[in-house]
Amino acid sequence: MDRIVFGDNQFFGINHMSEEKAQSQAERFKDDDAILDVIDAACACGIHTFMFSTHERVAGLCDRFRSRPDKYSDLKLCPSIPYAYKYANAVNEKGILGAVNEFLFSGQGAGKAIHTIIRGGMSVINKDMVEVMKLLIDADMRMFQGLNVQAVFLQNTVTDMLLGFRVKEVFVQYANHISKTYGVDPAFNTMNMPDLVDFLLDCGIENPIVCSSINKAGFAMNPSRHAYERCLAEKRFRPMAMSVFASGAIRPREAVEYVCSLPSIQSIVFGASSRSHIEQTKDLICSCWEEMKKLEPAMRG
Amino acid sequence: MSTTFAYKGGMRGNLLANWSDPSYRKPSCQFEALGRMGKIIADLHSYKVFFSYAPNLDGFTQGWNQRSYTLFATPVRFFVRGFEFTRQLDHFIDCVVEGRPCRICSFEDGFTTDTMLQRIRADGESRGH
Repeated sequence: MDRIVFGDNQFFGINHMSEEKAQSQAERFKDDDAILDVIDAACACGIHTFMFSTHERVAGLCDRFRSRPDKYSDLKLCPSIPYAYKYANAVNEKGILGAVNEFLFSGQGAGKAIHTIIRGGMSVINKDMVEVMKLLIDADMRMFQGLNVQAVFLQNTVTDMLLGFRVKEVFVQYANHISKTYGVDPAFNTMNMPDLVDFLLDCGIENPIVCSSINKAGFAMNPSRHAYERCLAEKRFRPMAMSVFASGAIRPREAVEYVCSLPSIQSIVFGASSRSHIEQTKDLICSCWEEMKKLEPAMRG
Repeated sequence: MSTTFAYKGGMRGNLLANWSDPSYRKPSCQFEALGRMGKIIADLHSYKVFFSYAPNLDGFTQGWNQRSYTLFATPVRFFVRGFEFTRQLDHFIDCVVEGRPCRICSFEDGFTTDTMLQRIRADGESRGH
């Protein structure tokens, strides 16, 4: 996994600090060309790994990537599935069965599986539910066909809900499906990193990739920043840091110095909407990591 | 859903809740409370307070003051779809275990909320909505 990964929140009107900023970004990026300009700027700065949700518009972006292999052959993608609001909107408009039919294109099969889930609830962890999960994963992953996928992340909305239910079977099946079908690492987004890491290791998922909010302010680090720091120091996994600036609440240098000082952080995910901002952030991350590397022998000694 | 509240003391407020409009990425809620000396506007991300005078409150000044939830949301023991659900659950359990009254969002507050929802619905229906 590359050390720096570019996120997509700014493209789709996601901003945790301000609804007005979220809406102005959504307006700015309503055309795919505007998104591609920023992707091109990131590539020009040496960033080639991108994390994308499976928002409807990402399918169009993937078509553009495929149509220009000369330009985008170096692109590495980390899909984060599923994009929950797509499904929530479809359920609102078409009902559960209509929504599942739309996304899986297999009406009767899906209907039977959904009836099994509704009857049994989470206590019925049977083959049907796992099959529905695989179908949903494959449906979401379709848009990335032919592109260079590095790892497939399970969105925190699903990860944390399943973690709350402690369903080991589903995590194991998810990990196996991603490895066997796509030949890449399964990965997990979460808002409860220490809890998830313990659980994944308990499931036998070794050295998992876990992406979570890691920042100096402790924002969205549940149950505490201290628990995260202890987990990073003690457990064997591949942590990826997001929300390192806590949506702009922390000064950039202070934010990056904190994250780079933590042991074992493999990658930092960030988003930006201008070339200058991308360049500044990337340079800051690289320089902080270099500084930490030089300090390491002194810290160990 | 948009509704206006008018209180006997002269305060007015507006509540906007939206859960199915494609112009919003996800369900959103905003309320405004308008008083003689200022106003408060709050949504899921932040609150803004306007004081028409210099308030005697640390960190707040005359004019607009904005606070984002990234600065004041404290972590919870388990986050699932927001901080609020765990926080409410834990507060309820703590009150029961410690034998103290539930001062934040009691059953009475829940009843008041349900009553207000019914009055909003009835008011909307009386206007042909």
